[in-house]
This record gives sequence, C-alpha cells and structure tokens, in this order.
Amino acid sequence: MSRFVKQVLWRAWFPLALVVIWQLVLRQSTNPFFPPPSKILSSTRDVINVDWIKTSFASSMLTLSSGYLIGCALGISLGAMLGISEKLQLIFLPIINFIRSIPSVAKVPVVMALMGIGTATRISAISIAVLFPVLLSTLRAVAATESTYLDAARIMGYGRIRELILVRLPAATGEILAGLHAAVQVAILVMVVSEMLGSGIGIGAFIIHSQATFMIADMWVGILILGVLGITLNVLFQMTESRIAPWYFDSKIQS
Amino acid sequence: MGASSRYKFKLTTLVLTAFLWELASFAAGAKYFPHLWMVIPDLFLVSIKFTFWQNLGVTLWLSILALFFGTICATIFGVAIALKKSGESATKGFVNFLRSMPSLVLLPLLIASIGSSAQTAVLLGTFVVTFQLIIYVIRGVRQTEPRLIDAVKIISMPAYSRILFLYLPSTISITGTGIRLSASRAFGTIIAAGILAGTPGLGSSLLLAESSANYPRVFSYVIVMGITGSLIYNIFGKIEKKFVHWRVSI
Amino acid sequence: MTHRTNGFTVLVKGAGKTFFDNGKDSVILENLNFGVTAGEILAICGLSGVGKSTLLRLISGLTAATSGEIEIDGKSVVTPPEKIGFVTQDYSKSLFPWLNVARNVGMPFKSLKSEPLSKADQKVRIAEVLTEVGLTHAANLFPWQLSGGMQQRVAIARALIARPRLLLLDEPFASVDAHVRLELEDLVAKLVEEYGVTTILVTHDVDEAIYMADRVIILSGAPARIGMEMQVGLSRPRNQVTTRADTKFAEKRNQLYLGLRK
Repeated sequence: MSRFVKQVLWRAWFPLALVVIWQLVLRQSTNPFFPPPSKILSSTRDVINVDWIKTSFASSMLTLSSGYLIGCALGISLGAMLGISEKLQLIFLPIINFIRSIPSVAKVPVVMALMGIGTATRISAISIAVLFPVLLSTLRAVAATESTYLDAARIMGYGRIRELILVRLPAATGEILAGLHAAVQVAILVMVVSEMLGSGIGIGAFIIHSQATFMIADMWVGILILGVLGITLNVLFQMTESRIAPWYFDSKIQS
Repeated sequence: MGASSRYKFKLTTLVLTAFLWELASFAAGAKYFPHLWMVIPDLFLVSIKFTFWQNLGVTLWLSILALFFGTICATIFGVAIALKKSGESATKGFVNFLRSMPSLVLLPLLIASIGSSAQTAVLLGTFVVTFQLIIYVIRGVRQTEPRLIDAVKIISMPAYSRILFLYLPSTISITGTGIRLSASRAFGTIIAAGILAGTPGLGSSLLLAESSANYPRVFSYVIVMGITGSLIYNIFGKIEKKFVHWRVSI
Repeated sequence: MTHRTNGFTVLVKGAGKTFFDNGKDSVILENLNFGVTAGEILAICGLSGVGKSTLLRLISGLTAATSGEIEIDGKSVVTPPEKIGFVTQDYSKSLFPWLNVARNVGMPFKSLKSEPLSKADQKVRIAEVLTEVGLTHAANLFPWQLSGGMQQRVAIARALIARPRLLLLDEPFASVDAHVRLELEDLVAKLVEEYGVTTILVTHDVDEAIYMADRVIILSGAPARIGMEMQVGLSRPRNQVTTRADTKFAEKRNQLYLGLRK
C-alpha cells in the first residue's frame, strides 16, 4: 500500500469509525433528525444533481469570494494606514473596536435594514465582517514591526512610505496572513446567516428550506457541504501560508 | 502625551462618530438608519425597562453556561487527545472539520429536533466553545516542559495527579487567550441563536424590533451588544494577562 | 593611518543621554567629549551595560541626544545622515528574512537619497560587494539558510555597498563562534583599508579592540563618561598570528584590560 494511502487511512480512521457506528446504530431507527449515513449519501446524490443546488452553491461562492476579497483589501489598506499613524489610531481605534465587539450575526439585520434583501447586501455584510478583524491584525502587525528592522531602514534613509512598503508590510506578512486565515471562518458564517435571513438563494437558504419542508437528510447534506467548504479553505490556507512566509509559519503549531 | 491632548483625541473621536453616523443616516435614509438623536433617547427608554435587564441577564447567564460547559468538554477531550500519542493525528482531521464549519449551521437541526429554547442556545454555545478552546488545551498540554514530565514520572506520580498538577497548570498560560476568544464567541452564539431562532435573550429582542420595523430600537440593541461585547473583551483580556504570567518553565 | 581618505570626521560635544521612565530619570551618558579624525579606526570599550550601544546610536542619529551635540562632517546630527553604514550584533534581526542575500545587500539603493545608480550598475555593485565578503555563491539564498558568520558578512556587505564614509559596528562579532570571529575581524580590517572609511567599533573584547583599532577609548561609570584613552600604534597590516604574538600587543592589551577594571 502506498505511503499516501496509509497516511490517509491513519488520519481518517476515527471519523470513518464514527460514521460506521452511526450507520449501524441508526440503520433501523425512525428518528427523523439523525438519519443514517446511507440515507444522507443517497440524498446527496439526488441533491447534487438538482440544478437549483448548483446555482445555490455558485451563488454562495460568488458572494463569499467577493465579500471576502473586498473585506480583505479594505482591511489591509486601512490597517496599514492606521498602523503607521499613532494619531489616527487614537482617533479611530475606539470606533473600530466597538463595532468589532458587536456579534457578527447582529450586524446582518442592520445591513439588511439598510440595503434590503439582495446579493449586494450579502456581499456587504460579509465585507464588513471580514474588514474588522483583518484591519485590526494588519494594524497590530504594522505598528509592532521589529525595531531592528526599522533601525536598518532609517540608516538606509527610508522615508515613512518607503518604510511601510519595503519593511513594515513584508515583515507583517505572516501575521496578516494569519488574520486573513481567521477571517475565512467569519466570512462563511456571515454568508450562511445572511442567506438564512434573507433571500432564498444560497446554501444557507437551502438548509432553511430543507428544515421547513422536513427534508432532514437534505439539511444534513447542506451542513456537510459547508463543512467540506470550510475545511478545504482551511487546508488551502495552511498549504500556502508556509510557502509565502516560511520564516513565520515554519514551526508554528498548525491546528 | 499630556492629559489635555488626550482629551482632544477623545473629543475628535466623539465628533467623528457623530459625523459618520449622521452621514450614514443621510445616505441610507433616516427611516432605516435613524438619526443619533432618535436612537439615544430610545436607548434610555430601553434601559429603564425591567424586561430589558432581564433579557440582558439571560443572555449573559446562558453565555456563561456555554462557556462553562464548553471549557469542561474542551479540557476533558483536549487532555485525552493530547496525551494519547495516536490521539492527535487520528482526531486532528475530525476536529478540524468541525472547527471549519460555522457551528450556527447546526441551529436548524437543533431547532427541528429539540425546539428553540434556552437549552438549545446553550447546547450550541457549548459546541462552539469546545471546538474553539480544544486547540488551545491540546497545544498547552503538548508544550508542557519535558523535564517536569520526567520529574513526575521519576517520583511515580499517579496519572490523575499528573493531569491535575502538571498538565492542566501548564495549559493555563495558553488557555487564557483561548478563554478570552471563547467568551466572545459564546456571547455571539447565544445572541445569534436568539436572532435566528428566537431563543431567549437580547437576540430575540433584536429580532422582534426588526420585524416590527422599530429601527431606533434595533440600533439601541446593537449599541447595547457592542457595549457588552467590549466589556467581555476587556474583562477576559485582563484575566488572560494574569494567566500569561503563570508560565510554567524552567 | 591617514591614507584612509574617504572618511567623515566625527565630533562629540558634551553629549549626554537621559531616559525618562515613569518619573524616574536614568542618566546613561553624561558630558561626553571626543572626536574621531577622518579615516581613523576608533574602538570604544567598556563593560556590558555601560552605554556603549547607546553612544553609537547617538552618533548614528538613531537616538536623539538629550544634551550636547554630535557633528558628522561638520554637520549636526538629527536623523541618520547619509553615507553611513551600521552593523549590529544581532544579524538575525537586522537582515530582512523575506529577501534573499542579493536583495538584502541591495536594499540601500532603494532609498531616494542615495546617488541613483542604474539597475544594471546596481547589479554589478551587488555582485562586487558579495565577492568582497566572499559570498558570491550565496546570492540567492535566504538569511535563515546561512550560518551566523555568513549572515554577518551579508550585514557587512549591506553596510558597505553604498560606499559609506562612516562605518559603525556595535559588537559585531559577539554572537559568532570564536574562530569565525577572527576571520571576520580580518575581513573588516581589509575592507576598511580598501574603502578608506572612518570606523567606530564598539566592543567589550579587549583583544579585539587592540587588534582592530588605531585608538581606543574606555567608557565607564554610571552615568558613563570617557575614561582612559590610548593610541594603539601597532603596525599595519595586522595579522592574527604575528600581531598577537608581538610583545607590544600584550602590553597595550594589558594596559586596556587594567583600564577597564578600574
């Protein structure tokens, strides 16, 4: 058996065992809320082939990626600008920290109140949810650049902007990436919630719809899709992190 | 920096906040984004109602319960996983999977099966806290100073004592951060459950205000949540700082 | 000694540095007066913690003096002047880990102040200076892939690439292995001769001070002041074997050692 297969089996035996136990225990059960895996699998086959789920998934991915990218772009640029100015920090941080303390889910109704129900609303809600943590971690990273790097920059005669672009931002790459990684979770969360509360399109809406029509197995399919999405993005991040910033990520305990 | 310039900065912040708020109000329409002078009186109105404080108390209480149960679960499972050599690699993928999924998505399932009560919210909150905190517990146990481990093995300290007096204290410096994050997430989850499913607390109050289009009320609640969230962050931040000093190292 | 014609003069006039910390004032340096002639190699010696690094930071303009004045090339130092190179003790924290060796060495060219060299000329100059420090083969490696001694060579290359007229070294060899230290001493001595640059070397190592410098001053006391001052007067070029075996070396060294102990 190839090494790769062995590795996969070694890591997968626990969840696989759980699934098997679940199947055996509930095979005959009539509990509607925890259908046996076999039913979930057959539902999956049915669900995936329906056009509606394909458009739902595509719509979800579109809003997720747009919202995430906008939020990250704004978060990094604003965070970098604030990071080099103590005065701006003193003025803006209280506002930013306050808005950050509001639970993300609570912000969704507010955005919906302002912008109605639609794709733009969902994208905006995701952007806002992503913006704040990314801004704060960028700000922290840029402001706390190692003084030794800054000394070297001053000896070499760099001005403030040059210092930001050539020294602070590269030095902060690791921490900024970590912030971007964490923001994915929030983005997925807000995406799902905004779909549940709003429109009728998207995976979140699919899950709610399945719940309302008592298609519980379908609901499980939706949940699993989200789990797979989450973990795929997680793994993607882990793989690229150590390539982009090896000096930051090499012996950090990956989780 | 002198005290007077600090005042100047605080003043600038306040003025800027008011300005940005009014700008948003203007841009989105005062119906949906009420003026500041409509929200602040509403905030006062809300704060003199007993039911408001009841709701706030319920939210906080449920959050504490979720944090408490979640910490226990995270500790038990975390220590178990960390101490079994095969444990970590076997469960790593599974734990990762559950962490990557937005736990709120389980809410419809929970509501369908056990209804939307306070227990549902606490159950969901416990789930969230467990998976948030377990990583920190595992990390903490794994980084116990090896020389201390050798020392307790030599004196044949029994397993449960080892866990209690060596491994757990070693996690405390790291877990401080985990608990701070978990506290915020527990609070967020309880509120989210309220908004999505009407479980007791401020979340359902917000939902009610929104569905009756009482926008000043909506914003009052949002402000309250922000204040509470900030307080939680500050209190647990202080606790975290204290814990960090307990670093067990040689 | 003054065949090194490419150096700045440095004048330290009544310089002092006080740190204000929550109401408590700590006076680290007080009323320091000394000069460095153009092309001279000066070693500043003293016990650990006395303030040698602080003094070097004052001279370089990284830290502002709280009293007195520092002049480089006749001009008062407020911020780091142009044409200065600085090598610190901790190479791992001064080289940029996200850049390879060649790019690290070329970083001084990114500043607007330096005389603009075309990209092609920059490349030539980078290759040149890497050859001078013996790191041509390492141009595409990253700092964390190199040994301590090699990293310090990169730092030296970076400090010299823009042909500075003042070179400041803060305990540059304290973090490398003993045998590497001797190699680096000779490397720096050779390059300083070639570049003809004024050099200030901060070190607590007595042998190193005598081996490297034309003149040595001692910083001592709290607050720190200039204690003993001595000319070294050993012939150049110096050599790890013959110079150190010279009786005059031992004499000067002991003089310095005793001066420190006081």
